[in-house]
Amino acid sequence: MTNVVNNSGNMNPNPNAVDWDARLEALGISVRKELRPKVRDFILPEWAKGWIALIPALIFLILFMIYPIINTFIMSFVNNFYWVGNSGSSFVITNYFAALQNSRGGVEVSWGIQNYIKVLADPVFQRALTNTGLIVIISVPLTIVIGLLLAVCLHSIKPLQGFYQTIFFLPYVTNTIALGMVFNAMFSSSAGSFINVFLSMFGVSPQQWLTIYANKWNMFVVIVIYSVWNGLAFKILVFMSGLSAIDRQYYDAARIDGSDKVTIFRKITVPLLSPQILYITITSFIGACKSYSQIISLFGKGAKDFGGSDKQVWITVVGYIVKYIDSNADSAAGRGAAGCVILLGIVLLITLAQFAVSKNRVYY
Amino acid sequence: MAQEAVHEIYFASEKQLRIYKARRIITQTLLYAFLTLVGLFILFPFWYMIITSFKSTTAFEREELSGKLVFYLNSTNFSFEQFGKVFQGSFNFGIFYLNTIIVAVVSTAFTVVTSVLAAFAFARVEFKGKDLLFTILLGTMMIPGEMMMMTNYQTTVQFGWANTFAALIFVHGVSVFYIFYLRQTFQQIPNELFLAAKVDGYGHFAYLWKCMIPIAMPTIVTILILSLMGAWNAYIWPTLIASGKNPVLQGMGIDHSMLLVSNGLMSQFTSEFTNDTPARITGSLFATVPLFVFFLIFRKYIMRGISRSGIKG
Amino acid sequence: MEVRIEHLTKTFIGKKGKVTAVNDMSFVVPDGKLVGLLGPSGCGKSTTLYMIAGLHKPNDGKIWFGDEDVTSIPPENRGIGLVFQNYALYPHFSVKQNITFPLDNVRFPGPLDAHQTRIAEAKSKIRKIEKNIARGRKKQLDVKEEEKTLADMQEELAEAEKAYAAAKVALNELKVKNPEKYQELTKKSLSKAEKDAIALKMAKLVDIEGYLERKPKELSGGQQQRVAIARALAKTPRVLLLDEPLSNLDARLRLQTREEIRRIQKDTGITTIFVTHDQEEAMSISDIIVVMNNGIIQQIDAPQAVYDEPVNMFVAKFLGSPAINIFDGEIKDGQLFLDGELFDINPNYEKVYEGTITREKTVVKNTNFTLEEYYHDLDLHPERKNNITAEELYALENPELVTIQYEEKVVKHDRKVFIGVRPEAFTLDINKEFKGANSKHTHLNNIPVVMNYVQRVGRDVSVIGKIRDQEQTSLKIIIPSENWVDVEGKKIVNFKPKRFYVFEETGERIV
Repeated sequence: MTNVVNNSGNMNPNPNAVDWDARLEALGISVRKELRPKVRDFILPEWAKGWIALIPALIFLILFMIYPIINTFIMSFVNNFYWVGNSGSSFVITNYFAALQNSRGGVEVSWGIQNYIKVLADPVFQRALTNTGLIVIISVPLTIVIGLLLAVCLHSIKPLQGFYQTIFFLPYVTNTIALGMVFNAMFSSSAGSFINVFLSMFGVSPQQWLTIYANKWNMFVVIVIYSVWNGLAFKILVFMSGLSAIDRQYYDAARIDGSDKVTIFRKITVPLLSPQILYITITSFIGACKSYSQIISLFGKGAKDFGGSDKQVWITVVGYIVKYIDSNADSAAGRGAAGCVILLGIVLLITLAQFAVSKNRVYY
Repeated sequence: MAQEAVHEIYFASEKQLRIYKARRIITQTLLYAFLTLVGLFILFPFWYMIITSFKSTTAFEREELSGKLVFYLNSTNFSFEQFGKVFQGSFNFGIFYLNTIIVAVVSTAFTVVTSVLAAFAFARVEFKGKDLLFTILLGTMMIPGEMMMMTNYQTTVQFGWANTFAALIFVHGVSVFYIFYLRQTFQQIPNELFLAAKVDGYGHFAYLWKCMIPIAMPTIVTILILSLMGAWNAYIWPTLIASGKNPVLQGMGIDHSMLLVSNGLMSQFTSEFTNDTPARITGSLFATVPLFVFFLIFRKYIMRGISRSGIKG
Repeated sequence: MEVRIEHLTKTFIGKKGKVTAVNDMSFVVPDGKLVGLLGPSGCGKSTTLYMIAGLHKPNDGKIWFGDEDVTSIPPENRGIGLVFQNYALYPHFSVKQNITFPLDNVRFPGPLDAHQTRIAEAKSKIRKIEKNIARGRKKQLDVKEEEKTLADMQEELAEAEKAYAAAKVALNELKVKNPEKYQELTKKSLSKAEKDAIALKMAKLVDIEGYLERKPKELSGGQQQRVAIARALAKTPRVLLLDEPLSNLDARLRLQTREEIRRIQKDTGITTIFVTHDQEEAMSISDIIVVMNNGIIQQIDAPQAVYDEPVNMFVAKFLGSPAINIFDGEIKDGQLFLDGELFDINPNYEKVYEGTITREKTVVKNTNFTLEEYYHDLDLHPERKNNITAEELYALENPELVTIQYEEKVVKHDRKVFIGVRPEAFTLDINKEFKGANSKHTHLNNIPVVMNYVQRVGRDVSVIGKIRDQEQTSLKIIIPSENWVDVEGKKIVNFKPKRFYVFEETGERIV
């Protein structure tokens, strides 16, 4: 195999023809063409390439994620903090020094944990904590159990399995706000609303569900129903994929050993599904701690209305934070920040607790 | 609990076979009944939404008061009037759609580009501090988004980005989850392929463009789809900083509301149509349908992407 | 293209410190030959191959392709083709695209590039010298030297520009007179048609013509490998490199593919280097084998030569299947003894052995204090047991003992050796059956073997046994099938080694 690519096979019988190859070579022009890529004089070192690829994402991550986290932490430890409009910056420390210059309403900014004290002592926050806790404790296990049950049932049928799966998945792709409003209408308090008509078939008189006159627990029922309705989709999907991944051999072996269906479920299905169950449990708990959108959409009166005449019947922790998020009232920002940190603490605690519990129960 | 064909199981007698078959029919019937029941529970709000959108307001209110709700449409209550309401006035679904589509498309493009590059850097390139940086980013995934909101609000206002597209696109544009997910996919591409491309004369970025991206395309498509869906359903952040008029366009004399689908819907709710339930429901319908259609088209990708992320846990 | 390696060294920094993968290797691969790098796992053969390819940078040494030093040239510009162990085909490309992928990058330099570079270099040199002259003048130094160089350079520049002009003229002439050739000369990259033609040619060469439109996952292992070879050859490289080409194939495919590789190499005449740990593979197709161990070349020679004349015990043990039998032996008074019995007499044994032997001793870390010395001391002075020094106490309580190796020069005459005999190198002795125990019996050219296990397998008879009266590790003998009658049912049979090797303790061969 030669290294020459060009085909100068033009055998010219004309004796006067010039032998171009020889002539060109003599002039220093190489006729042979080697198949090589371009020789690069400058090659960027590998570490430079890494940083160049990373910079776009990193800039925005630092600006809008890492910096805010640190900022919020610091903010939670500044008493009587407020945003000084002309400081031109969102950085807590800058605002702090600016606020030192011009104390507002005679109250000084200082370092301390007053924000935390104010938040924890605030009855509204305490209510938010209880509300969030109730929502988490009731709706999450309920949804997981129903979801698991549905996944198992779904896994046991063959025809129409995909059809049912799609139906169950629909709530995931729908807008929380939009459907919240639909539920709001379905549970309206007039005699002709869907729920009241439904209940009247059982002889229950029309109830107030979501209005300002409604009973707190009636509201809770609606909240739970909506949460379950919304939450089933994701869980069913993850459980289904987990179930499909369980090797049939386990079931065959169990059948040979003569186990009945319930035992198979308890001793084989659940343990082999435990990684998915753990994943779902952790993400569901964390998600429920952050409940906010579905509640305001149910009451439908706006971003800060949680039902009842004081608009705060079913306020949640995130709702509390949102209350102070763009306010510049006394200690508002500090309270919001403290609330965030407390929320973070709750989330971390729950996750750690779940990991500890799962150590002996999860099989990979 | 997997499906088994009847003929795979052996029975001692004919009678046992019949008992088994009968039992199976009963269990399967119960299963389908249960599933159908739950299915109806899931589907009902949608049905309600559709029905109510086609009723006239007066008819609806009449039905409500009388205590008899009509689940179907007939000549008395059928009307198109709601559709008109949703598209007029200052709260106009046309604007919501426009804004949301712009934000969704641009922010998804931005997300995909930054995620691909960052995942590539973490997966394929060696540089100092790579592992440390990645661990830090991984840690931030745990932190709730609310922690960043206050500061981001102030920062955004300081940049002069209040009520602009920039605020909606860039602030939440980069997601560590997508970077993590894509990095995993990139890492599954064997190292030898990179060396082979090197011998063939391709550097890092050429390799990324010509080999890694095509091979990882399913994951990229999943990210694309999930990102689009997320942009459509966003609520908290848009409410915070995009509830007013666009300053840039206002400077040009155009009065352009920056509401997106979700917060637009909510403001519709609280203002003009507080007492007009069918109108609000129609708004919900319009908020839901586009994503619905999108889902029906890309159903496979969406469901596969989510179940895959579940396996990784 | 001849490949020459000079003093190549590569070290890696691992968790336990520096690891020398390749240690001062030098060898030459003649043009057009098929060379196998053979050795156990981890001996550095793949590292060497990757250094030749350019994917690893050597810590020391040079690599030459012909008379071009390629040590600092990146892999894509060296003119090599590399076939990976698991083929590394691009899964999202068809077979044809896989082969043309390296061609997409091909760029041809312009015909006048060389001239322009020459001119540019001359100009920049002139500028530098002028700067030096100006500086020198300011400092009032003697600038005569520089001025002379400047004049030389300016001459060079003039010449370069002349040549450039002449070349340009010729090119313009060519453009008019022979436009085809002009196109040919000035094209920047390969056209699609050309690329496809090359792909077709390569596919024909490796015999996968019908699969050009398929994707790699639709092909079998052997076919995938051929695609990998075609891709490696697409750029008409000067050297073809293969990393364990046959280890991913099943047994029968291996034989087939071996011949394929051999055929392709002969057809193209390209210098080929491949890496393997399978000695049979290397023996069957290489022109030359390079045996490596621990980063050091053990022997370089034609396959049969390496087999018949191993240079040390490692090579002897590595080649040959079943492996060579190794016995403990002794040289005493110029005679060779096997298991205490006289085995061979040969003047070579008279040679005095001078060399170094590696010994070990245990010391306390960071001192030269040896534990043996300490214990010996204690024995001699038991009263010191209660009166030990701090150092000694330290050694007792902090057993940071380290075994170090040191070299001791040895001059020996009588010494221990190893004797190696290949299984197939035995024949039956004339006195076939062992007749009774005779204490004066020597092993002089025959060895009585206790037959533990005799099996007739097709073409051969395989015997596993022990040398009489000795607790040796068992030896293995292979004799032709016809001799089955002579060994069937016998308890002890005399065998005679036709050929044996004697190795020093350290492994070098004596005989």
